[in-house]
Amino acid sequence: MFNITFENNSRTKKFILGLFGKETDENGYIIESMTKKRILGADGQEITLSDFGVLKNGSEIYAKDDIVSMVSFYEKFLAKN
Amino acid sequence: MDWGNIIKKMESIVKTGNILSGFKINSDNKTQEINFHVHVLENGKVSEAELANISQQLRPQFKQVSQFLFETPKAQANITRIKEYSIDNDIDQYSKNFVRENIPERDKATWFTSLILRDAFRKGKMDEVQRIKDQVRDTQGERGNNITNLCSANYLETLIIPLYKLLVEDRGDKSKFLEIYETIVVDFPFAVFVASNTTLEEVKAEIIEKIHTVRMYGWYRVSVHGIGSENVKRIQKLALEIQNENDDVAGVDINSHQSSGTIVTVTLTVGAKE
Repeated sequence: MFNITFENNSRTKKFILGLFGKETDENGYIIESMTKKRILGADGQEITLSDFGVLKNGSEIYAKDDIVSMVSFYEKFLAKN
Repeated sequence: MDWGNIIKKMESIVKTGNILSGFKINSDNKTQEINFHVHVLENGKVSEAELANISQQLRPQFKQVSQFLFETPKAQANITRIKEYSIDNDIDQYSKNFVRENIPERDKATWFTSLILRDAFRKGKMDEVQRIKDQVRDTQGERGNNITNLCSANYLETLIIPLYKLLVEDRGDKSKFLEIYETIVVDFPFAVFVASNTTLEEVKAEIIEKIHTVRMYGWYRVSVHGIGSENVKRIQKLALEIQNENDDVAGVDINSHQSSGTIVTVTLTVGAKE
């Protein structure tokens, strides 16, 4: 397992997103670079660069890093590991 | 998977671009876990074009990795705490399972977070308590705030779980449970929870105080909750008494949530009498 922590600044986040073919639109939402379509986070909502805090493999799961989002994320994707 | 080669390749790409600081790799051969930290300096000299070029070179390396987790330090701290609380079977196990299985989907994560907050409070970890409260308030608003307060006051175990057992397990009436549950969560700042050891005078004083609060904040009802046949009788009697004595109470709805005389929710509608 690759565990990578990254700084919570825009430039680092954009770099991380770039690794997976993602970028942001003019309103700060994460989009697919190829299609320019906004992606959905683990909670089924569109996700902004500032909210983005977690990326997991398995169809690339993006999530916010506040504790309530992390509880859902943990229960859904990490608890059984 | 050849971790060593992947890491070496990444290091060479990164060093070429000289963009990353705090680039530390700790590898654990037994668990095959690689940990490293990425930090692109906000005021760094590397251009966006160079960053994009480095990103493109690194991409194939990540494609070889089947399991990865990228997270901010905040996410990492949160996940560590959540995992620590979740796997400790000596703490709140019944409540955790109840939240997972029976609380409405939209509130599950907030209730679980509230249990963690309560655990932190009990252990005297006040910094953690404040950190969690701030995150809940910022992301879940008033509803989240109400849930953390309900949980801290142990109303999950003393009111919501008994309500579920009575209405759903004994009577099969899940929609009634969800209706009352919603009232409990939404009305919390304007609700009175009656315990067996409070006197009639104390309960009455609290209800009247809540009526004044409701008027001040422009809300329209006070909910009074109680369990046990004695409390049911007391609340019913008081509600009618207060309606007669108080011009602010336009209506009293007593029987809508009564079940077998053992749980009651009384709603006093606040507004001028016609």
